Amino acid sequence: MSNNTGLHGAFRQSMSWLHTWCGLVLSLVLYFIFITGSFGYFNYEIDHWMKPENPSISETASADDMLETGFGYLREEAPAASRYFVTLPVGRGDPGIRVFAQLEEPTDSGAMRLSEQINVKGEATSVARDTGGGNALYRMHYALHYMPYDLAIYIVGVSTLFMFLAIITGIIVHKNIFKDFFTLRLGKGQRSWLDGHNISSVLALPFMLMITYSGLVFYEFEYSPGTLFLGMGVDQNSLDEMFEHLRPGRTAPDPSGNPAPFPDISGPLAQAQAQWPGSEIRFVQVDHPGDAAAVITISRSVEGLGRRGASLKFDGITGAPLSPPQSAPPNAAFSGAVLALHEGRFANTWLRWAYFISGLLGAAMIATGLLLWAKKRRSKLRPTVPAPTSLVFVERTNLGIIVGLPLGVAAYFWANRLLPVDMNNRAEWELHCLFLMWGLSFMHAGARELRRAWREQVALLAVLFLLLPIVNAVTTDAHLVNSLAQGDWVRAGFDLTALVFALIMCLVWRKLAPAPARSVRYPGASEVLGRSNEADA
Amino acid sequence: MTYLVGLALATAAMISLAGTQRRQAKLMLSAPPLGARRRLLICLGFLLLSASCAQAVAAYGWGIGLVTFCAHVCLGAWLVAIILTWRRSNS
Repeated sequence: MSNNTGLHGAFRQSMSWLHTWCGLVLSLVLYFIFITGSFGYFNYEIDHWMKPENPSISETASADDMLETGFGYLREEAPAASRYFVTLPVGRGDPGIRVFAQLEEPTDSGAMRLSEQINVKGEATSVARDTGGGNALYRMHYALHYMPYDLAIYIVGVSTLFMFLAIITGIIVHKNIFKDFFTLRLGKGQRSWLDGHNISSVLALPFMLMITYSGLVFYEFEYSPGTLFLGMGVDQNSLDEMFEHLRPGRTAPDPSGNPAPFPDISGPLAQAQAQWPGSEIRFVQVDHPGDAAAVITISRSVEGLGRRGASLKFDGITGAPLSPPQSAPPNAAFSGAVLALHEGRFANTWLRWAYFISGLLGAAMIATGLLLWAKKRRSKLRPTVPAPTSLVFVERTNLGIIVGLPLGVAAYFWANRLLPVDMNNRAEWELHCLFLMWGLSFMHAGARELRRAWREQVALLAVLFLLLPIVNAVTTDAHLVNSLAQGDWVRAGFDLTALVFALIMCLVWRKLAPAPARSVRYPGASEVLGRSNEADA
Repeated sequence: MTYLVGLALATAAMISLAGTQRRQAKLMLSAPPLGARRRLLICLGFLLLSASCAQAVAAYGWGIGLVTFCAHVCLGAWLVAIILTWRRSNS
């Protein structure tokens, strides 16, 4: 029996159908998630580049001194607060000490919190421009933009579920998974796109499976509320009980109402340092400062495959260690490990690049799948028959999706350098620029002859990234030469990556077939993406 | 340096395994290996993969080590795929 007949063939055909439509229907959202999520792996680094006013290298001091400075600042600026939080600059992208206070009464502007960045001398350093930074890109990969958060996470959840289905069905459909493992045949039209689709997905398959599955785990309670409510009931006490069970020690005790002096941090800090030799203290939190029920929590940097570093709790008055919280149950520990894999907080620079490249491969997988779909349908048409509107629409939309979003990201970086520094809602306008550019890309794709539109948009993408370091040099002092001279490899790395990306786009531009003198055969044809038009015909 | 060792081992493993496939072997060797030679390449490939895994786990522990190993295998496979594509387009 042949593979394509009988039950076996029918099953594979059904899976093929499911694979195609699962991937196609929400491809716009999925591509957006993969691109913005990939940038999210370098959110702090992008933040650093987008805040050129911040010092290249942060000044540091001993943990004791920096904590004293941080808490001193908070006590002065926010004397009435229910919680203080001081984060030390030990991780990537931390240019100073970050201090935070949960206020008991709103400020004049109505804020219930104070959040500031200070240097080791206790001076506020938040003079940087208002920018979305890398975190805005990172946040958009799960919260999207221009829509309520609650709606966005469900759209992302459904898209992720479709993606997961597309990956599983793709594995079933792919008959020659080992035979084609290293195969990428260029210049063979539709076959090349299929190879590209296969190789981008198969070689990063562990990442694809992990990232989609863990993406669903992130909002486990939102995506399966029935499990939560049926298991625990709907009243708040039951839910609090469950969260305390899953994440023991997260909830702070109630204040006693009896005033007390501000806790002395040095004793608990020395105990924590003795317990974790060689580890770096990441943050110190004080709940109910100035109350007899004050609690000090000291946490170290993430070590191993985890989302958060281990933490210790101390009595705020005596400095005595409080009983350690119970360890999380196995299901919560599993969930934590899966989420840690998704976020990659443990990843060092090398692994972070691997995550970034794998994320871009995910985007490439979606892009090649989209192009393949259009290509297949185009190849089935007779040359004399005009393409159906739906196919032309998809072909043009593909360009808007695939090249338009990177164009938008480039515009976002340009806006960071070109918008006036004192502009109102500046961070929001940076994002408007991203979406305006993306919208323009769709309009351009719809208005121009498709072959030309591809070349023009790829050329523009190359130019935007090529000129980005120059715009940076013209508008700020944090340019490539200065960054290299100061040993600021994060900023220099950003500029250099932009140049490498521009170079790759130049190569893509060269590979695209040159525009013909006049439109022939297929108006709006998709075969423009290769020089092998005849191979398909 | 530790990373480069792991990546080199994974890439070598991928080259060995690619050499056992008819389509890739034509680009790498004069003729596709058969019989014992093919089995030897498969064994060598898996041995190198094990070595890469062991090296990553020894350096970074089980959790991060296995993630690092996966990254090395993916990047190694990509390197081999790029080299083979380049050879194919030049042949």
